[in-house]
Amino acid sequence: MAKVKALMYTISTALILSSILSFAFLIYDSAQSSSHVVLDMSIIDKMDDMSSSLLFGMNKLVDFKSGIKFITEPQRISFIEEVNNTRASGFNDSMTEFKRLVEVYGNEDFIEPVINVTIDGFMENMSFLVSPYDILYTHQRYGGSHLVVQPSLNNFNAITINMNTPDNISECICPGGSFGNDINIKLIIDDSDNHDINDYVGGSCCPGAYTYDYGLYVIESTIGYGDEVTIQLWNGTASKQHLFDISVLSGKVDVQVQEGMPAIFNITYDLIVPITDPVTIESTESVYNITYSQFLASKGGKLKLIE
Amino acid sequence: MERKASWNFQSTKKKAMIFMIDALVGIVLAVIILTFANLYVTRATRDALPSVQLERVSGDIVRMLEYDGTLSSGDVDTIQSRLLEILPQEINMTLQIEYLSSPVLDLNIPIPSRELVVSGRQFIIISDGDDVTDYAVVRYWAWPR
Repeated sequence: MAKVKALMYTISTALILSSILSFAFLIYDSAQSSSHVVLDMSIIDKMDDMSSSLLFGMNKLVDFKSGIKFITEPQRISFIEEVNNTRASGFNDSMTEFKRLVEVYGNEDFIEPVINVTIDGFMENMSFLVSPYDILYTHQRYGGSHLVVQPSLNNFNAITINMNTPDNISECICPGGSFGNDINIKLIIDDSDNHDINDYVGGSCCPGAYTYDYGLYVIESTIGYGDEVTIQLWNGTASKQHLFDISVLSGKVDVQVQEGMPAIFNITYDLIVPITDPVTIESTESVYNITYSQFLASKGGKLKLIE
Repeated sequence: MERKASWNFQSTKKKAMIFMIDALVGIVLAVIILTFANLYVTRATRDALPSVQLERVSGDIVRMLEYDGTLSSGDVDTIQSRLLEILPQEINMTLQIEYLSSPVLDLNIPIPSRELVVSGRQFIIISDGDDVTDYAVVRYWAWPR
């Protein structure tokens, strides 16, 4: 009988002790995970803080120095840039300087670098995607002579191309293209020096109406969706130097300017639907990466101009 | 004989009760210990949370100073007075701004050694209107007042 009692006593003591141990382990475990959660939150906040300041700085540089402007209105999206963009080299220098600052001072307390700024690909093409309208704005080489605006969806009903060209233009030819009723192109040639309209080619150049008002020629053309129109402009020198080509195919606007002949282009897409969804304009390439490898935390991202 | 059996039964009952009370006291003690341990853990976690909040608020304050152009002024007094204007009453903060092409600007507010202090850094563009004039890194330290 005494043996049974002793056995029962031992078993109950063991049970109580094991439950105390289990509780202690549970509490230890929960304390560990709580402290990890707090540490993780702190790391995420630090990454977020640095990422926001990086993006804010880069946005400021694009805004002030890139020579590219994006404008969104209730039913249209416009892109304005000078091609060749003479501000490209200054912008690239500023971005490189900012990258150097971020990488030198951002990594000064770490053996392994935590911040890596990858702007080379971005500066090469300066490609941006406008969401949710899927319009790609890109360059063959930023600062070069080739600009492309390419929508992937047929969600617009007009494209307006405004150009401020160098003066002394004497000829405008439209060598090809069939015309329908879907897409409207307005070609505005700035003639701030008030050249005589007869210096320019006549109405047979581009189909549509001409108006002449306050030094501006406005040539309106209507082309069919899916048709290609090529407009070439020449200046008025004896050699008739070629200035630039504009071609439009399925909404894709392709501008090719001769080197050293800058012109300011304003390409606007009039959307079928009003802009009710938030518009995002972000770089197609990632521009930075922040990695805290010891915490298995990392954050990379694209440059967001409008969000 | 019957009396002896009754005495034995009462004695066994008494022993069982003592054993029960003993076990209960043990359990109560264990529960008390575990509760205190848990409270300590909870409090330790709760104490760590304000540091995250402090980090967020101080980061936002530096961003505000950049956004409204105060950091571009490069003047200690302007930065300090604006900082005092926007700083919540519960927080104290100091900044050091290292410009790429100007001397380091330090607010020189002593950082307490026995308090919880959070720190961070942000990279900023110094501009004058639409013109970019310099680049800087802002280091900041914040602690509860």
